[in-house]
This record gives sequence, C-alpha cells and structure tokens, in this order.
Amino acid sequence: MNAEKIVFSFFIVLALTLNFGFFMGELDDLSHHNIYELFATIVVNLIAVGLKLGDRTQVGAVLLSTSLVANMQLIAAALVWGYVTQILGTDLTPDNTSVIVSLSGGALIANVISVVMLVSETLMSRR
Amino acid sequence: MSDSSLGRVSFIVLRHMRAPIIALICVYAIAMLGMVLVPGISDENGQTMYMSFFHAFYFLAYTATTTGFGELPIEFSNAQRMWAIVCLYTSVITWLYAVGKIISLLKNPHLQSVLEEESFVRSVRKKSNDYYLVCGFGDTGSLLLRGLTDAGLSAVVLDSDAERIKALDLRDYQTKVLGLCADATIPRLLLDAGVEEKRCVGVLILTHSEEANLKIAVSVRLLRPDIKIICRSTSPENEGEILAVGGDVHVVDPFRVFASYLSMMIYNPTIQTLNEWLSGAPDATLEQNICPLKGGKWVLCGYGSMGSIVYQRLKEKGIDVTVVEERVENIQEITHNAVLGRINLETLKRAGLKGSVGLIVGTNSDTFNLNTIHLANQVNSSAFKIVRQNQHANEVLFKKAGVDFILQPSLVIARMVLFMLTAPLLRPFFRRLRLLYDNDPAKLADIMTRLVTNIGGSRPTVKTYHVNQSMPAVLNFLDEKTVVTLGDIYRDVSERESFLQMVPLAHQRGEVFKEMPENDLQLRQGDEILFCIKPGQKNLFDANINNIHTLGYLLTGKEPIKSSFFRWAMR
Repeated sequence: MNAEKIVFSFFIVLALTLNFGFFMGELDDLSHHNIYELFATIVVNLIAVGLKLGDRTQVGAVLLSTSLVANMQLIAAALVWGYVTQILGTDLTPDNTSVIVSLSGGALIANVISVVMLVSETLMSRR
Repeated sequence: MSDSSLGRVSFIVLRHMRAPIIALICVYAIAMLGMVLVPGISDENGQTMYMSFFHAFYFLAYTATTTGFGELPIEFSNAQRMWAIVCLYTSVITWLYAVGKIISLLKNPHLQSVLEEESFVRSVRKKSNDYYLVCGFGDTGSLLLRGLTDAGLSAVVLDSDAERIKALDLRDYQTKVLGLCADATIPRLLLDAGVEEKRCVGVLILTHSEEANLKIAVSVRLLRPDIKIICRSTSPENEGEILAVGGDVHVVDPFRVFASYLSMMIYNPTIQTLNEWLSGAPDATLEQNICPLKGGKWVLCGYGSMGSIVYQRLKEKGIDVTVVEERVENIQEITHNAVLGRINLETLKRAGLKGSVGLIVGTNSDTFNLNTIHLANQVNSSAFKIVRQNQHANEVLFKKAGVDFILQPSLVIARMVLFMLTAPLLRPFFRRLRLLYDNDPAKLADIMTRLVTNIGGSRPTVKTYHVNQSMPAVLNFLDEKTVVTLGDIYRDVSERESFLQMVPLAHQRGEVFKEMPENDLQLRQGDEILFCIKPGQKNLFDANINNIHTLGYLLTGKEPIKSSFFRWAMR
C-alpha cells in the first residue's frame, strides 16, 4: 500500500461516483440534477487527468485518454448550461436538460472504463 | 507512448507539470465554489443574489492571472469581497508557482539537450540527399567539411565539444550541415545521427582520442556491416584493431602521411608539386618547382611520435639526418645521429645546421616550432626550412615566419580523406607514379608538361567518373554496340579534332589499373576514369556524357538527325 496509489484510485473512483450521482434521475427533469454536483464532477475529473499525466505505460495511455474523453463530455455539458443561462439568459428547458444529462451519461461510460481498467490492472499485478 | 525522444520529452514535461496543474485545478475549484456560495448584495426585491459558476470563473480568469480587469455585472457584497481577497492571493501564488515551474523546466539543461537531440534526429531523418557522418569536428574535421560541402556533398557532424558545434552553426557551408553535441562513442547517438539510414554513405572518424576512434569504428561496423569507414589513428596497434573490423575500412595516420609527404618533398619534389596542385592548395601551381633536395645533410628537430616516423622514412631514402631532441629516452637507439639537449643556438650548431641543406621542425608545439625557425635563421638563413603547423589558428604567424614549406597535419589528413571520397583513384595513381617514375624524371616531366599545357593555373577539378547511369549518353551508345573510346568523350564540341582542357589521369577496369590511359582506349560499362579538369570545363564535359546528340556528333563528326521524320526520309 502506498500513498500515491490511494490518492490516484481515490480520484478516479470519486470521478465515477460523482458523475453517476449527477446522471441519476429523470433525463429531462432539472430538479434531479444539481449544478454543484456537475461542478464537482468536472473538478475531480480534471484532477484525475492531472494525476494520469506522464505515465509512459500502455495502460497509463488508455487511462489518460478515458479521462480526457470524460472531461470533454462534461465540459461540453457545462458549456451548454452556461450558454443557455448566461448568453440566452433563459432558464433551462427539459430539452436543454436532457442534452446536458446525456452528455454527462457519456462521460459516465468513460469513467466506468477508467475504473474497470484501474481495478483489472490492480488485480493483474501480483504485488 | 513510444521510446522515441518525442515520447521522452513529453514524458519529462508532463511529469514535472503534474503537481502545478493539480494545484491550479484545486485552487480554482475552491475559489469558484466559494464565490458561488458566498451571498452577494440584495436585489430590488430584497432577495440575496448569488454568483453563477460562469461569473465566478470569469472573475478568477482575470484576477488569478493578475490581468486585473475590473468589469463585473453586479457590485460585490462585503462577504464576496472578503472571499475575493482570499481567492486573489492564493490563485496568484499558485499561478506564479506553475509559471516558475514551466520556466525552470525549460531552462533545465537536460531537457534542452533532449529537445536539441530530438530536433536533430528529425532533421537527419528528413535529409533527402546522401551524407557522410563525421565524428569529431576539430581542425581536420572543419577543413574536411569545407571541402566536402564545396564538392556538393552533405554531412552530419557529431562532436562532444559544445563550443565546436556552436561554431558549426555559424559557418556558411554550401549545403546544410547538421551538428549535434554528443559523444559519438555512445551507440544510441550514432543511431540518432542516422548511421543506419540508407542515405548515410560513409562514416569519417576524426576525434583526437584513439580509444574513442576504435570504439566508434567497431560500433559503426556492427550497426552497418557494409558502410565505408575512414578512421584517424596514430598508433599502429590501434590501426590493426580498426582494420580488423573488416569491410570497407581505411585508416589514415596523420604522422605517417606527414612523413611520406616530407620524404616525397625532399626526394621527389615534382610529385609533391603535382600532389599539392591536384589537391587544390590555394596558391599551388605546376610551375613552382622546388629543386630536388636529395643531396646534403638535414637537421630534424623533435623526435617524438611524428619525428621518429619522419626519421625512418628519410633514412629509408638514404637521406642523412641529424636529430635534435631534449629527452634522452627518445633517442637511445639513434645516439650516433642525434644531439641531446633543448633546441637552442648551441644545439643547432652542434647538429651541424651550418652545413646542412635543410631543417625540419616537427614538434607538437607551435610556439616551439616558430621559435626554432627564428633561431635557425640566425645560424643558417639559406637552409630549406620545413615546419609543422599544429593549430590552424596559428596560420598567420607561420606565413610571416619566413619558412619555405609549412605542413599542417590536419590539412594533409583532410585533403587525403576528401580525395578518398571524391576521387578514389587518386591514391593508386600516386602510388603508381612513385613506383614508375621515381627513377625516370623524363617520363614524369612529360606528364607535367601535358598538365601544364592542357590545364595549368591552380585549383583544378579532380573527379572520378564511372561508366554507368551517371553517363547516360555513353551508356546508350555502348548498348548499341558502338565503339566509344576514351578520347571521344572529352572532345571539344566546337572543334571536334581537339580536346577539352582536361587530362585523364587513370583508368580502372576491375582489378586492372592504368595510369595516363591512351585516348584510343575502348570504354566498357563499369569502367572508372579519373579526370583532372580545368575549372569551368566541367560543364562542357558533363554535356558530352549526358547528351546523346552531343556525343553522337563527337563520335561520328556528323550532326545526328533528331526528328524521326527525317530519320525515315534519309533512310
């Protein structure tokens, strides 16, 4: 057991759980999806990218790319949110909400892959 | 990620940037969250307003980067102002930390050398023409490179001295020369320099370390079993080992080349003049004839690694030499021919300089050599003085010293290697000349007269031509079973009965080597001919061997019919 492993796995798993928490609920019902949770998901995912940087192994490369995908999707969701509320100046409609939530759903898949790889790599290593 | 240097660079950068990036993300996250949660001022309905995430990020974007842009849609409440102070200090400090980290990383000499190596490797891979790999960019290397690039050849240079590589960047070579500051004994760097590339046609190893030269030669041979290797070596033991790597490998020993130059100068100055002239020494002409210096006594100053070889060579030729040397252990075997002591007026007199025809000063210190010349002028100003110049930078001093002949080992080696590359037949040509004409001055004089009348001047072009795809017109006629003689290909187009201002020096077919071939020699595919060409005539000759119509006219004396209609009509 070492501190680096703990921090690393912590953020990767947290990225998944937060993402899942945001995704849960009716697709087009805004009251089921909290903006703070989206914010936290983005932050934790960004930190996860930072932690995965600079790993030269094959597994490291795939882990990094899954995180990048998740971030891309989540930031796209945040941009949609920001565009509607700040630039259009209206409240979110069920249409907008479903776009945001489905984008985060995509990020969820990427995060699931990330966690699966993390777990399988841990199981594979015989140390 | 691959093992390439690019992978390595991004790896290093990312590894070092990990901490600053995560710190920035965390600080931004906390600051933004705080901004969003802290209550703002009340609106007209008395309801407390909160900042949106978008506005919080916008606020941080200009405060954290110290841009200090003051636009905000809604005035801050005191609670927000308080939190803004916290945000500002923490985020600015974090930014400074991140930027500082980037800068220190960029200044890291290790990263810089990796970046340099990376860009070097990329440019080597992109090279489109054939090139030589030169290991060691000292005096010899830089002289050689000048010659190579003037001949239109390209090169890649490795040297472990960063200053030399910087100097390389400042030279104005005609072709692009790539350089990397690297220790060529490390095989990975040889690979970086493209030794395995097909375009790398030869490796020239010219470093000053014997051990390094040997190691490079061995590594190159293992990496490329077929490549040409030319290696500098001054020790006979190393020479044997280098030759043992096998394949197309040549060793040049500056001391031995120097010694044979010297003995040739004294014993057969005509060949030496020819040699100087062919190798394009700036002011060498064929007319300058040093009178033979065979008779009489010589004094040799310095009996080190070079002096001993010179002594042996001169003795072989039966020249009477007296040595002046200060270290007793060096001259134990030749005590009867040597004067022991530091070189000064007294020892020079004791060595009999007064009655000598010449003096050779060949120590490895330029200061010492110049001083000796100065002393010698006081003893015997009429003696023929030959001096060894070690450093190219001292050229001015040597020119002023009033010596009859300056020999620069680095220059000698550079010329020799250059001719091994551009005119490989020149060496056997000289060997043959020495063998055949040593005792036949009349024949040699004939050759000299022919060269003087046909070419003359200075700096002739010397080039080996192959009867192959590089002579398309000749090949075309040979395929048609037409007889093409050596004389035909260098006739003058404007006056068919006469010849261009050039002389074929040698001809080689398989193992058969013929110096000064006759004009009626019938050419065959695969022949090699060494030509000495007056500058400016090369273009005309190139037209002869490339253009079918030109060569057709030269062969028959009739203007060939170019259009197929007339060819049909004339049938």
